[in-house]
Amino acid sequence: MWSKMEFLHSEWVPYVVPAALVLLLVYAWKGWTTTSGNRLLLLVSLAILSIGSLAMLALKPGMPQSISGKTAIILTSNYPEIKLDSLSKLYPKAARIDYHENGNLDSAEDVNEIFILGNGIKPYDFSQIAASSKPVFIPSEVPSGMVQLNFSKKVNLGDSIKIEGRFKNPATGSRLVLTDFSGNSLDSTEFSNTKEEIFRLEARAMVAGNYLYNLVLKDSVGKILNSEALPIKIKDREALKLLVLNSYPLFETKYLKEFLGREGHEISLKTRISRGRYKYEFINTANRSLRNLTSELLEDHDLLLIDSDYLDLLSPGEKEAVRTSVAEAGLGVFVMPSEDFFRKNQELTGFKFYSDQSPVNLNFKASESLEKHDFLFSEQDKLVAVIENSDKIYSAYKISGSGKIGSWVFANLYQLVLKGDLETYEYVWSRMINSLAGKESIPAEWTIGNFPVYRNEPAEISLRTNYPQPRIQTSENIPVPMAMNPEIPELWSGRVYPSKSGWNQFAFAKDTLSDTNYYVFEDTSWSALNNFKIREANIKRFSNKSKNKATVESLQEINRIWFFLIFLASAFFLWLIPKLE
Amino acid sequence: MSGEGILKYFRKKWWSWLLLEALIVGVGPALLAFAIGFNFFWITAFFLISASVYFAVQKPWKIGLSKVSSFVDSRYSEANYSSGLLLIPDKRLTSLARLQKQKTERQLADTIKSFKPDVNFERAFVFLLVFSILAVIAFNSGASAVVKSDSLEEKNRINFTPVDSIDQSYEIPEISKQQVFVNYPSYTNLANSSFQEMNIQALKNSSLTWILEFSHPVEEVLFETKDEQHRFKLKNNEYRYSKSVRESGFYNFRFKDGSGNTYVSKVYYLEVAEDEKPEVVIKDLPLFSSFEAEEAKILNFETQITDDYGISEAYIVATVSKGSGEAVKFRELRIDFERQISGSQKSVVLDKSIDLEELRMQPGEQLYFYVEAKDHLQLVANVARSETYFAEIRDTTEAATAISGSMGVDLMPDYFRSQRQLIIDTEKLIAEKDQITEKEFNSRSNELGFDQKALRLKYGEFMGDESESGIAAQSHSEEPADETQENEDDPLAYYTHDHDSENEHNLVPAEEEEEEDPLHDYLHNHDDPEESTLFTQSLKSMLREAMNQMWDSELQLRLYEPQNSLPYQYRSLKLLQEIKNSARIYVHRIGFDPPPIQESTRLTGDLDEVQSFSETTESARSDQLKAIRESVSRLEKIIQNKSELTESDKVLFQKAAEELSSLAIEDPLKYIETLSDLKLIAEGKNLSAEKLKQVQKGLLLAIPKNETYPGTQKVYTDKLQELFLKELQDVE
Repeated sequence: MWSKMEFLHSEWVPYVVPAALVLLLVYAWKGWTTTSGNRLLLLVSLAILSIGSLAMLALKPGMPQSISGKTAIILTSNYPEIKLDSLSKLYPKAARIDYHENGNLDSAEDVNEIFILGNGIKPYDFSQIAASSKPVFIPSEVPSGMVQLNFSKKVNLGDSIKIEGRFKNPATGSRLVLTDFSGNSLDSTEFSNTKEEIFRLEARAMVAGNYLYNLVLKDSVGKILNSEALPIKIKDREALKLLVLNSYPLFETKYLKEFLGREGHEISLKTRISRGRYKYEFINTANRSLRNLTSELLEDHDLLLIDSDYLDLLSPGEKEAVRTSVAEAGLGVFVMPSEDFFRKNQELTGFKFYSDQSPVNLNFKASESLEKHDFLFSEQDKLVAVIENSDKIYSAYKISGSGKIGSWVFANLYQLVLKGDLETYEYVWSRMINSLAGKESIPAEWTIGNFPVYRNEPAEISLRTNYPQPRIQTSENIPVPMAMNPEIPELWSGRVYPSKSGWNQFAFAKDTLSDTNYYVFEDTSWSALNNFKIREANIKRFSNKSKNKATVESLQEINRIWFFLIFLASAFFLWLIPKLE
Repeated sequence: MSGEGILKYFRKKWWSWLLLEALIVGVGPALLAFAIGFNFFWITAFFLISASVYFAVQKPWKIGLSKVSSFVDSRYSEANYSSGLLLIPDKRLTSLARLQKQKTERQLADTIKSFKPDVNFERAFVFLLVFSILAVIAFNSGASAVVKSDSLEEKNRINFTPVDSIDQSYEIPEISKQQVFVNYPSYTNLANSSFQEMNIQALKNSSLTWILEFSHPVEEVLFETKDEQHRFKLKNNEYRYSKSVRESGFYNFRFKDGSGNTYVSKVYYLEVAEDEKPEVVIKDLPLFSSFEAEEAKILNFETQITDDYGISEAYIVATVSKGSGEAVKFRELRIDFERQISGSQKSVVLDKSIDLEELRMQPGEQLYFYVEAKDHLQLVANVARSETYFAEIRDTTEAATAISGSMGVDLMPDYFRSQRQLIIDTEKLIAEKDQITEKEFNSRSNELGFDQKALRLKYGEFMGDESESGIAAQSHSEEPADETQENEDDPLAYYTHDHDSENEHNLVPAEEEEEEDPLHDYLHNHDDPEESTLFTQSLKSMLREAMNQMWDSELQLRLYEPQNSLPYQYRSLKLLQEIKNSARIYVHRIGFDPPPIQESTRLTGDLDEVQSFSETTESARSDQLKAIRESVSRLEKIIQNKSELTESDKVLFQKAAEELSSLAIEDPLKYIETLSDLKLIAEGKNLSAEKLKQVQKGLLLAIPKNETYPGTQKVYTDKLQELFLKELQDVE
């Protein structure tokens, strides 16, 4: 047993032991000179006792002892009283730690067994619990309310904002309304099933900027029960640079160029009016020579519109230039089909078509007035459909390198303009253009890992950039340390504890290369969502099966009073004995 | 109190009671004046006047001390009838009197305070009651409205908001009088009117004058529109500003007071209505009239013209056209109405009859005309036209196929004889009857009949029906018709149209036909309900009618009776020509003479003159909502961060206000509040967060919901992604 003895202050051993020995030697030498014989022996042994006990007092020896049965119950938010009571009956001596009050887990250090009751501890506090104690998580009920949510955090102007989620235990007749930042209702859904409902909401993004849309829960009367904010960033679109090549003047091009010219895009047009004679038009852009189709010219543009007959007019060099621009520079190519395009051999595009006489059938009303050629796209491996309905593909593209080549089977879309239906016309063309247009490159891409981000709780940020050694700072100019991912050199990650609620920002420290905004909520927002997340994380991390009581060994100090008493006694005798003489 | 003092005291009390009574009486008329709606000055005046009048009527000056003492004596026994003694000085009294005086003094001194003067309050209260009742009646009957017409209604009052924050202790000058005078343009003959309501509707080019009066003197008053500011002129304490209005818009007022604070009013809208064009309708005339060369060619019609503010003149513009194809010639005339339009009548009906002969029109020429009317609008009058009416003198020398003349392409193959040609040939045949053999006569007649049938079948195709008589009929036509003899015997052959019986081509002896039907020319009622042509000769029924005529003429021709077939042929020709003309559309002459085509260079394929060319255009429509969009975004930032407005913000909001006001002209009520608030923000006034949110909401209303935004996106290109795509490409 004594062999297992250890000192608590073992680091003082090299100081205390020599000091004690020195003291002893001094005393012994002194006693040597004055007394002798038995008395000397007695005095020396007493000295040893006293100095030794002093040393022990300093060094605090301890014996390892197994503490079995020390339990702690961590109470997190929403813990059920019943379970607490039953656990207390099983472990009467268990210590209670009120996590939901102060978030403090210090007292969970020496504990043999840990029970976590309630929603669970916050995921970033997992490291505070020793893994060896193998905590058991006894979850409370699934929280009611919005438990899962997925929404488009970043949207381009004009696109739809999509929100879907799961709502647990909604009250019958209650409605969930999506409102925009100024209070206008955009979309809503009504809850009927009282157990669990999956909902989907959608709205159009109208203005660019960072906005707080709201999800408002109203009861059947219209009273607002709950309202949460959805921070959504809407990005503006940039003007396109279009190059249009026509082998003869087309009505379709005329109306398209009016439409896009109005919106401010830059269009360069080359139309063949006779053999060897061309008409060049430049809208919202400066003159340039379009005589030869070189890669430079093509790479300068975002989208190439070419009609199928012009494809035949291209020289092999020009065809090659188009191919390389698409593959390497991300140029998008749209082929405006003429009637015989569909039967020809598709050298550049590789599309396959099949004959189909049926009229256009899409799921919006105005599609009835669309005309099409008597063909449809056949399914192919690399074909991506843009406009399709129930297996009929009306328009599609293929990815070729970093660019895309697309086409459609519609004919005479400009008739919609003549009929006055500008909306459908613009919608169909915009969809096609947006799918094909080349994309502008930005130097960095930011992702905020978790939603919602709370004040004084960690926000995970990851950054993709080619910039070597990016230095990031918050809006208060506090630098954020970023760690590079060992396998992907462009991926960096970091963590920040925001102290201010509202819109916060990350930016590059020295340059104004790029920045991003994220919204920080107060603790009370999105409580159901957050609780659900915490609960899931706890369930994953901790088992909920009770196991055998393991023993934990720790050093138990031998009570110092003994040493004190020994010292006192020996000192007394040391004093007394000479006095008795 | 000494003797006299007692009585003086009592007299004072009497006077004050009288005064009180008068005051009570005065309250009555004052109440009445208040109920009627007089302002404070008048109410006070009424009160004072009636009180003083009543007071005077009581003649208080007559209440001297002696009267007081006699009153006291008569009323109160404590006086012992000796209150008069109190007035006489002691030295003039006997000792007994003195004794009595003292005694009376003592007694009165105690009790004088309880004596009541002879003042009848009841009368005063009755007065008050009566006037109160009158006041209540007056108030309820709304007599107040009569007097208030001059004073300012609260709801119309212009309210000013200070731009900067000022002490509350400072008194803000208010509007005491506001008016807008509208002078309509002189030609409308409308009386001038005035309004207090600042949202105005006026006619274009009216002159508006605003008059404002303030409760305190102010430095400068401005009239603000979207782009400009104008100063009001001060005259006789009134601020005036005049403007003649041409277009709708928004405006507001702004003034500066003595200490340099600026105040801005709410935004009001000004709606300017245009003088509408007159409406001209021609009645009693078919759109297309045609005349034969011989008949009287007169067009009689009535024109009805109406205008909102008076018609100034009306006349007929006529064009006569001669010839056809590339050699057409036009002659334009202006014809006036007999009756001149005077003054500015709002509605007038004019008769006119046009004689085509007077216009020196020959057969084959066409006249087309319309009526033009002008109204009194200044500078450039509104001109309106009626529909164009068409008249022609028929020229029967033209040979044209009826229907194909109105289509672009001549669908009739050449070898078809037209109806006119058939007539000519038939007439020729009849003329030659004596010179040729009967056999030849018969065969030619038969051929003509065949041609007639072919023509009829061709027309029948236009009608969409199969050839009525079908192929089967053809076999019948070849047979010689010795049966024709029966036809002559039949006196009713001329009148009957024997289509129904099996005996159509008289292959079997004909039976008695139906009796003469006076309507037979009009009714070809082969059990076909759409054929009743009595009431409307629609195109299809006319054609069917023509075909029936052709059928009969063919019959006659086959029966070798060409002269009997002629009437049918003429009738069918007439019908066909009517159809041809009714299917025409008349378009006003363009007055464009294309250059003559040079045959030498035509179709040579010479490209020397054709050059490549280039053109540059700037067609970007500047986003008319740019500032509005940016304002929405900026407002969001301000609301979120609770930040202050900067100078550039103010400029932005000013621009947004301008954009919004152009939009709001269409729909002022929707945007007017937002516009007012936006202007306030542009001035720099700080509004609460709720107000800012409302402004944001209002701005969002202006942005169209379904706009698409084609454009490029910004995307981060990842090396990993590029590698992946490259690999994908190589997989092919």
